[in-house]
Amino acid sequence: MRKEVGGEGEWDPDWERSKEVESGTEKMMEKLVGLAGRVRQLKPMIERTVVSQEFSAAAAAGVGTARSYSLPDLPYDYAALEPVISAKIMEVHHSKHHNAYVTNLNKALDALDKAKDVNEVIALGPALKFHGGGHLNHSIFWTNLCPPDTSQPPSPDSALGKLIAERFGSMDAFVTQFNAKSAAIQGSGWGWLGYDKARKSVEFVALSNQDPLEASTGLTPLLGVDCWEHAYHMQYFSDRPGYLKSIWRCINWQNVEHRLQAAMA
Amino acid sequence: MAATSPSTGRGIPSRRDFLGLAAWSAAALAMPKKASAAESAVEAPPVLPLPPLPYSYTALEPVIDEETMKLHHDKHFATYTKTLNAALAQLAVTQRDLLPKDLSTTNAVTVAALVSSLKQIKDEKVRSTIRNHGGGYLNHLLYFSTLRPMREKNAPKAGSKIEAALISSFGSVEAFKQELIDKSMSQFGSGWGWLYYDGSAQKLKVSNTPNQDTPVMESVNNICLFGIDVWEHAYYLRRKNDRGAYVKAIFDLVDWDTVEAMYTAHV
Repeated sequence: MRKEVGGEGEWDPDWERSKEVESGTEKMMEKLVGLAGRVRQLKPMIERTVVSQEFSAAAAAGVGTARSYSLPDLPYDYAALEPVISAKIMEVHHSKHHNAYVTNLNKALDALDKAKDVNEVIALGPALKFHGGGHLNHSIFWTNLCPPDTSQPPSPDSALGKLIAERFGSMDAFVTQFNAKSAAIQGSGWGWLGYDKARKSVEFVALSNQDPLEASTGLTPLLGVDCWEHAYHMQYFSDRPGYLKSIWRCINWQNVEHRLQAAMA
Repeated sequence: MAATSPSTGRGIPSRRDFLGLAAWSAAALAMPKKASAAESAVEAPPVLPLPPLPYSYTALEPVIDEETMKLHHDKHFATYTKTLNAALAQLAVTQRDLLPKDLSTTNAVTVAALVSSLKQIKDEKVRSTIRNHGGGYLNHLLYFSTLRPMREKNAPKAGSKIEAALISSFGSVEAFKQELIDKSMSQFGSGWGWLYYDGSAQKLKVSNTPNQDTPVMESVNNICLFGIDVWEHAYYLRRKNDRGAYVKAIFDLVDWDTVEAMYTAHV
């Protein structure tokens, strides 16, 4: 008799050695039923990986760790943001910097799984925040950008336009303040426009290193601008203000508004 | 001045000139006494000049490229100097006693005294500027003056005091090198890796600090001997995100003679 195997994620090798089937059709049927059974066995593992944010192909096949983050593709070519951000910067920023955050986040999660005691768990905190924040922040950033001059700023009667006017006075005043405060970040960090769900307002926040906006402040990220030197150095050198001035041509306002709608829902 | 720089046309300070400036971190800093009423008449605020590079922009090739040296010195170091001067000008008005009696003698020693006791600066904005730009000024002064053209098998001179101290504090020169590499790599974001002499513990130590902080800020008894700038601007043009390659390679450039001279002068 075919052995049904319950239990999550367990593969019973005896299934394959079950009684011999005489005809080819019966063999085929056996195979099909076997496959269905295998899918049934793997279902909980597949559900776990689908529910988690992103999963590598290896995880979906039942091999590897249950959580494994991966580098998202850019929604455009590396050269799409020229001349505001060079293709070279986009390539290195995405394929090297963001990629490294993903790799190191996965490494830290592995180390977390293997941690022998609470001290080891706690010691991984900074690495998880840094690399996890790096992955989160860059994932948001790529969607906040689009080819130059292809996106209209929010109209004054849109939800976003109203919130910006309420908080900053006008779009111009918002951009001026955003740029001044982002230029003033010492060392590495990000300038953020965030949504305060409780107050139903928007705020500017500057954070250092890869500190993630939501976990650090409770605000929902709408728009982030990477102010690490790697975001602009090869093209703008030490001129962070120049980079900040130019980047507004590439802000994908539809994405920012979409994020606001999602946060307000 | 021993020679003229081919890139700037200015005199290249000799090692000796830089040693005087590098003495800023000595534990024996004395705060200037309060000026008398007559002497505290309005004077021109102190202006620290941008210290010129002790070598040409190409001197540190192939470890550090010419373009990086130009940007690092002429833009970044220059900005730290300029912004520091603005903050010093404010202090000259609001807290005159924190500066030398004779403002024209303001130098790196003054700045070191300020960054090693930031709490005494009352204005929060000025304190923050002195921390970031005073630190930036001192750190880059040390950085450029403790690098020299690349040498094969660059190492402290055999039998030198610094070699003995490294062996005594870390077990071996190789062990020190690995520890400094590890510290420099572990700094998240911008910052520095340091070799410094801890005057209280009386031994050499390595550490890492964020942004433009320096061991001198923790204690005036800490004497910085060598720093590795791990801000991205220090290595990005040639190495992109490969901080590790830059940190390993910079050991070929360490001016161990200058480090030895600073160490023996203050320990």
